[in-house]
Amino acid sequence: MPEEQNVEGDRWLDKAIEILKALGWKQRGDKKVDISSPNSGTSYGIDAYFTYNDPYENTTIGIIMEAKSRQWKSVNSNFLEREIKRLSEAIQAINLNGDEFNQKLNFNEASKVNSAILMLWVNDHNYNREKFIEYLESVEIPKKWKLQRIFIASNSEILRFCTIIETYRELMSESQGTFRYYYPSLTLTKYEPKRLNYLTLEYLFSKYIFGKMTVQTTTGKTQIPMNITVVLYFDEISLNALKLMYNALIRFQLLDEVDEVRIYFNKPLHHYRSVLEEFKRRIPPKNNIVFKFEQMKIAPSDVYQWRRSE
Amino acid sequence: MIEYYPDAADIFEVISSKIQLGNVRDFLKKRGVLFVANNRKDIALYVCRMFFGFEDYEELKSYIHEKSNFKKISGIELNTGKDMTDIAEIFASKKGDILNNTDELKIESITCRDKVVEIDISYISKKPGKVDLIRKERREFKIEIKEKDDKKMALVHHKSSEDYTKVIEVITAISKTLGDPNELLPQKIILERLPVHLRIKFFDKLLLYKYDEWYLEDVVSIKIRKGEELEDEEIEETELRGIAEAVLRGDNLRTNEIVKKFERSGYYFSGVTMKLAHKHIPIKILLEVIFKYRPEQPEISIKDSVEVIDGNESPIILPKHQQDLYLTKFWEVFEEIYYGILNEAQVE
Repeated sequence: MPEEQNVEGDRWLDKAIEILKALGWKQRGDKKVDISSPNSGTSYGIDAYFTYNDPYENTTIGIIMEAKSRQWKSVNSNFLEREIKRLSEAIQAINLNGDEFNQKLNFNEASKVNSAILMLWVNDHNYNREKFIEYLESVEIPKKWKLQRIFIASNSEILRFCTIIETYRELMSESQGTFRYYYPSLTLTKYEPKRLNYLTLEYLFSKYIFGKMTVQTTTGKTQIPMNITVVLYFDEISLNALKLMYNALIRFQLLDEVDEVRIYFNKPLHHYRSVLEEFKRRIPPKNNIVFKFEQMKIAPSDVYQWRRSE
Repeated sequence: MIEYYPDAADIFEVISSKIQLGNVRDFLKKRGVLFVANNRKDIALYVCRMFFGFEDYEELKSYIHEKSNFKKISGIELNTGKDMTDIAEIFASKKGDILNNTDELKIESITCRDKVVEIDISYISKKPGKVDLIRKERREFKIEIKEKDDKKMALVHHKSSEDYTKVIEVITAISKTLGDPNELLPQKIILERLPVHLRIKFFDKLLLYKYDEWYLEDVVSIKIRKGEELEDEEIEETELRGIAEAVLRGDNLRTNEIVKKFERSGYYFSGVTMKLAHKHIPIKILLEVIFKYRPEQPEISIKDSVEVIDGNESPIILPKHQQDLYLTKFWEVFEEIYYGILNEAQVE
């Protein structure tokens, strides 16, 4: 029924905003703002607009968020294609309609708007990840001259975001607020590594998220600070994949001047004891770095049970 | 297999110039990332800031437009009265044994699944190297033994002819361990098993075959072989056109004047490359079906593949498992025609 759908729609919009804010994004302006295209006059309802400073471009980027809550049976390639097309046109409208955009959302900030995220929550218990990927594969991408990026987060990604947020909270608590996500220096970009308290779109869709923190440990009467490299690991738990991640730590100099490397997994560790033991055995003993494996606090499968605490 | 974590500059290089846009787009789409762009460099700049995992990079590697990412299939008949369970046990009993000391050929593992026996083989391939005198590489591949109409066939999605010769070596080595080695013999599928006058018929049937999922768009090349010489030649363009047109009209090759001319001179066809268009998916492939002479090996391979976008053909590498599926189906057609003719010859 339309009323129920509106209620659910609003409920999901608020939750989606809560999640993105907890990931460190700044919301700008109000939710559900209309921006019209100067060419066609068509009005696009922007559910929410966020910004963050991209560490590799050193500029503020703006992201349109579209929140949709649907039953599984309504989700298919056609639905996704329509949403993607809309988002692509909305991005274009924003870039062409500077005045309205500034008045309502941007407030004259120098920002690059070429990205959108569709937060799609399947609200019955029928979400099927494999099927969803099949739908994505058959989606036709719109054609535009200027580059646009549209990210699709469905239940697997959304729950992963919540899990990340929970783990982030624990790490902040343990490190007395020193934990930061670590953005390594990459060839082709000219910036030093950065430590930030928010996650970029690239990181949200990556298989590893690196972080650094300092934890005070007490030995006898002295407090010694321990430097810890943290990895939030979302790749498969296999020897080859773990070895590759270890080599990533080397490439990005995450083993330098570090006392401990803590790897967090979002799957129950006891299923993977054998592989993890074998991996540990193969780590070259270097500078007495301790490797620890931990489990992330997995978010409940009902996203509404997850709450951001202040 | 990727072991060192890729450098951002390498990822940029691969995405912007070594992989087709279609493959990049598909790779990212599956992961929930859609780029609206026509410029690979722009996409590459963003992608090299993402941290992908093991299977992601393996998949990216498989899209690099190079020969090794196009797949092939070959097979060898097993001349045996034994049933599939016995065959599985015979191979299993030799698991782990070194079958050839010079290259450490051995059976790594055996699985029996749905009446198909899968055998994983490994050996050390030694080739002249660029830096080292001899480059040694551990190679692994899988043999599938299937049964159909009382015939047992060992199929292999080989990467090189060397893999294929190893299949024969494994079967021969195993058969030597039996009381009577004749109980399990490899029997090659070669054109020369068919009487000369029926060899053209094989290609006739192949070219005119009505596939479920494909239709023949063109005959791109034909290889011919003469009687005793085991050298293959390509036929000339004008003659090829003549034959191709005839085939596309649905004419029987055997009635074609150009073909008859070859036959009279003692030639027969040994291989053909066809351009096939998929009936439902906008893709086309160049498929080669050939009876190679050195080593003697029947081989079906995908030589090239394109995606059709807005009426234009754009190179794309098809996912490995998809290529394997298509090749397995083409092999079934191959077997059907070959043994159909062989049976016909034996009745005569």
